[in-house]
Amino acid sequence: MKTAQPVDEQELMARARANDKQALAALYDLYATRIYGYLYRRIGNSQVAEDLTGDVFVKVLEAIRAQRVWRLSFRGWLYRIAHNVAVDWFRSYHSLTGEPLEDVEVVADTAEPGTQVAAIWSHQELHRAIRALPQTQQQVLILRFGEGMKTREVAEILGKSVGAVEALQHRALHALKGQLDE
Amino acid sequence: MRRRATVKRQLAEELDAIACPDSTSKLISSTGSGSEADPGLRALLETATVLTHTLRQPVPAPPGKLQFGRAQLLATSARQPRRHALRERLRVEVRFLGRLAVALIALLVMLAPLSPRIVGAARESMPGHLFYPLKLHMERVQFRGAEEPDVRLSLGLAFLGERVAEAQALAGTGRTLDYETVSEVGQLVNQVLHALAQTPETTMDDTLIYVSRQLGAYLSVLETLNAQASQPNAAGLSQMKHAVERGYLLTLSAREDPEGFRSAYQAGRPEQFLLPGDNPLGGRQAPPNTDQEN
Repeated sequence: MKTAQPVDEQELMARARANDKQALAALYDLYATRIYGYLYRRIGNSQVAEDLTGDVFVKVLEAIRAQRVWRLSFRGWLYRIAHNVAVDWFRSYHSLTGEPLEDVEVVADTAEPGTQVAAIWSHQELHRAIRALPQTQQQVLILRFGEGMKTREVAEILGKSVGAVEALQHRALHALKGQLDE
Repeated sequence: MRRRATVKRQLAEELDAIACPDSTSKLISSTGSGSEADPGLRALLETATVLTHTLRQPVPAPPGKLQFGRAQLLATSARQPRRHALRERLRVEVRFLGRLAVALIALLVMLAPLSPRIVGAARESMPGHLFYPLKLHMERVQFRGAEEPDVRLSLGLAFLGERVAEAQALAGTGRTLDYETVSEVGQLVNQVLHALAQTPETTMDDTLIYVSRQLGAYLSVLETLNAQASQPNAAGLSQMKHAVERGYLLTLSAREDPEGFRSAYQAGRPEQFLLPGDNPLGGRQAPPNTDQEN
């Protein structure tokens, strides 16, 4: 995954603090697609994921202005905010509709037909199985295998140790395998 | 135990290779055979592979091409600065006040063991001393805290006597009286007269005699000091003498007309109580100082 240079991020953040619209727009352009992808994988609805992407960046702006300093890399901090936004959305969605989270609309299968993967499990089945996992396990799987992050990065974002993330990953894969085999 | 740790490590590396293929592709070839021997681990790796493949599928394009979020961000950035500036200002002020409060508390804690000494030093201080304003402040607080007119009267006379004693002590050292001490005497005389007017009617005559004698004694000291004063102190001593003299003359007049004195001062119109020599055109002739002669 292509990452922005820390120096550039710092410069952009410094300019963003000074209310430089171009810097804010540049930060948005740099990360919005990735955050949208992450949120889409968490939620499974493109419209909602797009709306929440905007919310994530507004929260980032508020945090920048409140001079809340992040201890992670900017990317890690951004994903943590996105995670919190997604969790809030799940809570409000569940409280409004009363439906279980696995009933969230799942987009059409985009896996290429005829591949071995598509033959084993459908995209829908996999997403439903992921969403049946506890939130932290979902987070670990999506960050690790969806976003391609290293264990150390995921540990930073979740505020856990590397060992704890590896254990979560192990349990999540076991649970996922068990669900898909049923 | 060692084998289990090795397998665990291999699994972690192989999962890392699946999750981050760019950075760990070399590891697959070197560690792949380890997990193949364990069917359970092999199943986990297959799940991870499927998961990676599925999650890495291109996601549908956002319906609004993420333009709404961009516009929302820029609109928010244009809307918030003033609120932000106010919040920052408040934060700075709160931070400053917090530090000030901490500094004051620290100062009080530091001074707490010294406070009895400071109070003692203030009570002994003379005009021009660092703690002299504290001495005057403590006297004022003590005077205001007294509710009974008799107590106020006693305190007023005692403090007035203290000012006269200070003037006497300063005259010996050749130091100059400051304005604060001189003006304090005028205020004390007025306070004594007001407290005197509030004393019970039954004891008024005796109290008037006592006060006029006290003021007469102070006046006598000040007249002596004034006669001997060097040029710099003459003006201040003269002013003090006139203030005490006026109080003394008023008490003498009050002895002639206690009811008039009481009613004028209790009504808050002391100017209505005239001295024997006062007339509408001003000027007055002082009555003889009979008490001093006695």
